[in-house]
Amino acid sequence: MAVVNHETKEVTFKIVYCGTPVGGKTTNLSYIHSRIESDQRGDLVSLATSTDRTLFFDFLPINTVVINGYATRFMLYTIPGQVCYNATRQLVLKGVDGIVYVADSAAERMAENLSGFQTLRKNLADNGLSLDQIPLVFQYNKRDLPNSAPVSYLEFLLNNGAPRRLSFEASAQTGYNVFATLNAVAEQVLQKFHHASQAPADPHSRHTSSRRSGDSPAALSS
Amino acid sequence: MSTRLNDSCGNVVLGALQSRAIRHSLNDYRDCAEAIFSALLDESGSVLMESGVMPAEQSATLGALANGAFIAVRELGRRLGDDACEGLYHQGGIRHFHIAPLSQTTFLFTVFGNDTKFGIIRSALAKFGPTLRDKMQNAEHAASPVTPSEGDLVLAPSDGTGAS
Repeated sequence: MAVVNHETKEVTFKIVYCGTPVGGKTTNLSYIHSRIESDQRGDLVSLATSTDRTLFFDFLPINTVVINGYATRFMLYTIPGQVCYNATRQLVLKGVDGIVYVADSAAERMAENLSGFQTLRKNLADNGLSLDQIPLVFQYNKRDLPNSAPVSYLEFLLNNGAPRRLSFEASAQTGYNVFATLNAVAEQVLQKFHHASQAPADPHSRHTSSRRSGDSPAALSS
Repeated sequence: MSTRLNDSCGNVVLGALQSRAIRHSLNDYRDCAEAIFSALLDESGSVLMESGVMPAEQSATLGALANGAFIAVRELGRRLGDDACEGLYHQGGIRHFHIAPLSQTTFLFTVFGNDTKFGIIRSALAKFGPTLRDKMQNAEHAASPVTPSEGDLVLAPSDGTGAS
């Protein structure tokens, strides 16, 4: 559920990182926070226990591009993966526009990956939402682990429905494919918003450039 | 009473004229309440509108935290068997805040200092709360002219080999 403010010319989207406990959701946000210029992001807010386990949520606002004169903002959240925080997860998922499901590639975590995904479906359903209608990207994290399960098995386990979703092998610790994952879900969120909009797009009024390349991972703003 | 400003796609849309009207009422409320800062929050944690200045903090962060705090407390009340939640009040040393529901999905967040009594906040809320709620309810459900396209956005260069 995007928030569009025609007075301030802002569009805000909410993206939530879900997944297995200790799967790397917070590490994803920490990496993003560390690599984006400070003027294009807010502080990373973590409501965590003394042992750095997410208690309520982590939150990172990032300002991205200007599209048709509208500033586009993404509010990135994580939710706690532990079973006992089911109610908390459900609260944070309210109004979600896009989801990144962070799975742990360790072979012994497959059952938790699956049950976490099933719980996500239920949490969304309890909010009156269906996973089928929400942009979703899978991230198979911790691919650097020596005992990581084959990607094909993770795909079979999690990404076996129709339509198949995009998935990324990643290592949030090193940053490998962290931004690729975020870019993919952000694009899907914008695509959905675009298709839902009534007015036709005017390509000449677009203020942003297409994909950029380079070494700096700064969020784009024009 | 619903105050959703959803368009047909479920997005929350604030038209420019409606936004100005709501902002006018929000400013009136903040003046009356003698508050430092006030904001309208959506259940997703987004700041729909704000009035006043909160230096050294981003309103987006405040909105996310305030929204999370209120929804969590309301849910706690529900699980204890009480569906009503008239507000959440925090008394600090120099900064205090109050969060009150305008509807099931919209909240009014108010920050005030030691110069302001909590009773004034409640009084201002009673006076301007219905007005704010009505103006939001009457806001036109405008379709968004914002039409980003596929490929419009890249948050950062790709950092790996891409999707599986």
